[in-house]
Amino acid sequence: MITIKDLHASIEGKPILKGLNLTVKAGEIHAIMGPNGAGKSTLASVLAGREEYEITQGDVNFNGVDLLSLSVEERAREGLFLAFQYPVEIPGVSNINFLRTALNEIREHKGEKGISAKDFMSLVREKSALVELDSKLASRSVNEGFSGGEKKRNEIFQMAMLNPILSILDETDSGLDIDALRIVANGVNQLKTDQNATIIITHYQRLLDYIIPDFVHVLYDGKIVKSGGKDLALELEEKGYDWIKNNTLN
Amino acid sequence: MEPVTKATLQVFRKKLSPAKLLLPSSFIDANEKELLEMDFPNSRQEAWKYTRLNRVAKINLESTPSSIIDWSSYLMVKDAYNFVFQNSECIYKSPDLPKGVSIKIGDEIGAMDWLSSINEGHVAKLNVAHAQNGCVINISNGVQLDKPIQLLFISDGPKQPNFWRNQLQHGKGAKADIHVGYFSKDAIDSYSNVHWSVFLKENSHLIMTKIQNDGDANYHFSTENISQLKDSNFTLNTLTLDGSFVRNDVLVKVEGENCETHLNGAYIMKENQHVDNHTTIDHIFPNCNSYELYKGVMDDKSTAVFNGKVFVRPNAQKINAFQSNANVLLSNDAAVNSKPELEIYADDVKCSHGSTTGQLDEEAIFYLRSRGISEAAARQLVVAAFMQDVFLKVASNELKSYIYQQLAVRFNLYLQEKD
Repeated sequence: MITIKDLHASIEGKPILKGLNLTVKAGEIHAIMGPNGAGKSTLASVLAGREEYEITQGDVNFNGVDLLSLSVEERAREGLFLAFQYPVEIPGVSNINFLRTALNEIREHKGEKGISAKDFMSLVREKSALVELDSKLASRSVNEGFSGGEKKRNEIFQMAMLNPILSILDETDSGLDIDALRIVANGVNQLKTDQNATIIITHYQRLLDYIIPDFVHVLYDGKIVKSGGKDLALELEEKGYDWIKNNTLN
Repeated sequence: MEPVTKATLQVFRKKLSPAKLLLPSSFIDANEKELLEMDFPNSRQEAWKYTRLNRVAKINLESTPSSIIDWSSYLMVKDAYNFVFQNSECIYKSPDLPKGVSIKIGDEIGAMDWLSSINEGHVAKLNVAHAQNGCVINISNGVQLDKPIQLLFISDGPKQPNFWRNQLQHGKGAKADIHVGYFSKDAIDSYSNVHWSVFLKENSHLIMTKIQNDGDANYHFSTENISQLKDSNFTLNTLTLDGSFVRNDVLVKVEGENCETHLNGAYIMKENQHVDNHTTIDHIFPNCNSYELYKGVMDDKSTAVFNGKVFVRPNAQKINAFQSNANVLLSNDAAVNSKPELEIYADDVKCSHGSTTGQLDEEAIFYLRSRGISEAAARQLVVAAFMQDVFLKVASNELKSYIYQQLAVRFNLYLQEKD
């Protein structure tokens, strides 16, 4: 589904990603872990198309297309979804109005017809229930006045509405209490099919108790330095990131 | 910059026709003499500090014959009592009006029909000297209009001067919605000067919404003088959607207790466009509320001025006066001069003002795009959201959708140009 080859990216001339390789196939869940500053969020930003980052080397093949040549919105229409670490508050823009615009642009891109207001509203009801998001929140301004947990649930709600083929969850677990974490994880698990894939970016092992990854990768200093199964996350939790740092240095 | 001399105003007037409207001697008597002693104000005059008139002073106005236009394409709402002016002609008059409403046009208006009026400054004085057409609206006591009165003023042709003068007398307990639209067609260095005197009697309600959708080559000067008697409720929405140069002077005299005054404004400017909103709310009587909200979005090298004066006279206790001006700059070259002026001579009042200028939230635009929304649509959504609290004040849903439609047209055209 996505193949990242020798990806180098920098911001303001400072290299962050230094030759990252990763392949994710349909039906898989990958977790990317790593200490602060390893480049986890940079990876999410570069894949989503944030323009501040400069790609200095490498390429990304997403379902047969050159992802890096696409604009932000084209990536979304091709089926890429980023759940933000810090979802943005947009006063005055209604959550469901903008989602309907987004959904219709994605459908149009696929050559499908726009969704009717009635079908859209029943989809909203179904998908907001999935993350236990009050349907009143769904119709408010985007994230405005939402609690931290509500914002993250709103991200997963949007993911459910847009039905992407590759979702990248950027530190979706950070700042969540255990109940919110369970709700978010439950939402992600229910959206899982053998047609789509998920990349979970996280600092903590905790989320992986609820969403079981097929692969765990350790990102350190802009590269993946270790990959393994779900047990790697437990080992990391136990030994800490210093274990990786020391191994890498040696 | 060379100073504008007295001769400039006279040169500017050379080819203008004298007033066709019959005006009372109290308007005219001293007017011509004062005009001869006057000139275009320069930037040393406070009210024109940020609004340079050199460009205006240089234009060579000359009336040209009007073309045939399909005025219905300019209508903002479908169902209304319509009146359409094209240059100095009234080309459409609603054949029916509800009982208790009279609208006189052009030579139907006698000198006696005009109530007192403040004609200070060169803009108002030019209007008296050259008023070509306009209307006098009388809404009788207790009349509640079933649909809005819609007035279109269309400036047609290059170098076209237009001087329109209007008056509205709103009876006791009357209620009405007035939509006024200003447009231009084939304008090149054209000039419009429109003057309104509005009188609200006791306990009347009036919402006046003006859409300024002039093209890119028209200089538009608009003056509104409003007088409110006790228990009246007045709203003026000034929506400047397009226009190369727009000046709005609004004066509201609150001449009775228990009045409410709402001034709302939105302006969306680009390229070298300039908009100037000068407002004054004069609280003469106690126990009144006034609310003022102006918001602007400025792109390219456009400039805006907001000058909001609020007077609270010595005996006008228990006044609540709130004023806010917020701006978004879309480019580094756009500029806004925002100046609130509160003069308060009473001691038991609540007054506040605020002014902000910032940038469009790029993070919000990235967020919307990351959901599949095009950049153009994302920008439009965020701009519309910023302006929304002004648009929401426009009570008519039909007019609101007209505004959104104009915005969409404007943004699409605009983004295509930029690509």
